[in-house]
Amino acid sequence: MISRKRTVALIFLLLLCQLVIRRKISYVNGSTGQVLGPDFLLLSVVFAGLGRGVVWGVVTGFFIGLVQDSFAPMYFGMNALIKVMAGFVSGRVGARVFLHTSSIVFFLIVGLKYLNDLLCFMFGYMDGYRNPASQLLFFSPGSALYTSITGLILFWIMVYLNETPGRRHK
Amino acid sequence: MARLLSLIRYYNELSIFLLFFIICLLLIAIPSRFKLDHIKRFNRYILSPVQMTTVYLASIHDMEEQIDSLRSENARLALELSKSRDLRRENDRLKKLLEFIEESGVGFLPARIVSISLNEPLTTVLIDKGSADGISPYSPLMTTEGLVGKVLEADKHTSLVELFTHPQFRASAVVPSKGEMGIVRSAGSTLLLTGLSANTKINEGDRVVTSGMGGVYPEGIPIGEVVEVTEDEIGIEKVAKVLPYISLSSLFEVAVLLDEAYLDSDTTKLRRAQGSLMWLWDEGNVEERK
Repeated sequence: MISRKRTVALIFLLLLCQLVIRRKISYVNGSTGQVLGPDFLLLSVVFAGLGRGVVWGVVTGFFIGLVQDSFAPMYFGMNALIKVMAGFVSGRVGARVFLHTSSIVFFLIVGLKYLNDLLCFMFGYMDGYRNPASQLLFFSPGSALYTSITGLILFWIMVYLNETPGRRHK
Repeated sequence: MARLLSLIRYYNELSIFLLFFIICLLLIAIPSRFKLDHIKRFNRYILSPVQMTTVYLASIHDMEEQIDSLRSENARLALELSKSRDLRRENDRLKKLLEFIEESGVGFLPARIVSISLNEPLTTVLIDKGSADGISPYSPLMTTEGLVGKVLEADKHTSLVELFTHPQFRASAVVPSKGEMGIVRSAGSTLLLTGLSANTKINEGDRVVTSGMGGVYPEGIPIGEVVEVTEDEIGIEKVAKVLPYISLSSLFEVAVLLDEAYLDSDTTKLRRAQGSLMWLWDEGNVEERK
């Protein structure tokens, strides 16, 4: 389990990454405006859930989602809902599994990112912004892979620093 | 007991999740007429300083990238410009040389300097024309400015040229304005006109040209200008220091006077050591070339 201070620091670090370096390391399709890059916001929610449990994951997800909603043109609360779900799943996985295996982190992030995109595009489609099929087929896999690789790197760094993002269920 | 605690904790976590889940659903479900815009605006207002700072930092990084890119672009353009200037200069030089050759009406062959000797001062060069082009040893070389030297060795496609700076360079010369003759020889980067009588009337600024008496250089090729007249070591004769017209640092192309050209009296006005090229450097012709 990661200490509270370190979890907060990690969340801030990931938020800063989202603001500062995401554009630099992302591929932007000039004609459609689609961005293929790591989702640091989702990573912050995932690591909050893995490191501190469900409550941290849910609360972090809620507030980060609300901030995201403030800048999104779609339904207010939509991103918060998605991130709350991501926080809950991460917290439950973190509680169930002793997370020293990279593959669990990898597949967890891939799954959550894909779910995140699926819901986003569905809501977006309802608002008439995007076609979910093409997004899910062409952009989401790349984005999910990119995010999960970034998450893995972060996970390895934390393991190297003797932090264990995840705890055995007792 | 532990199982019960675990169960309570699980339901506690689940209840928190459900609470936030319901709040989110409510937020989504609230109709737009209830105007949640002020919450959005508040969030944006709180975050705007952070965003502005990060955008500013990102823009600094972008600017640095742009500066780097502009610097490299600038260097590339400067190189292009320099190349273009070099080409224009070369074009001008070649044009001038070809005009000179054409109007001379004699068998001049344009040649390009392909290699210079590694010795200092520069005394020999290699040109890209050889015996296959009609060049033979002792063929004189010149430019529109004046005498360059003569061919020492002619290979099939290249020739070794002895410049006027070569220690063995000798040319029979005359100062046309005074009618006095002498021998021009190399003295480093300048030339010396020797063999002048003690009461010579040669002055600074007098023009020195080949006399055609040596058998190698035809008459009338400009060599240089007298800059100083002094007595020799013994004091019997005078020596004139001559500043050559040719600048070796800007020597890239030369005109080689072919042997057959000035031995064939039917087609040219020249004959070795008899014909004169002086008319090529008449004031009118020089002005026209300029």
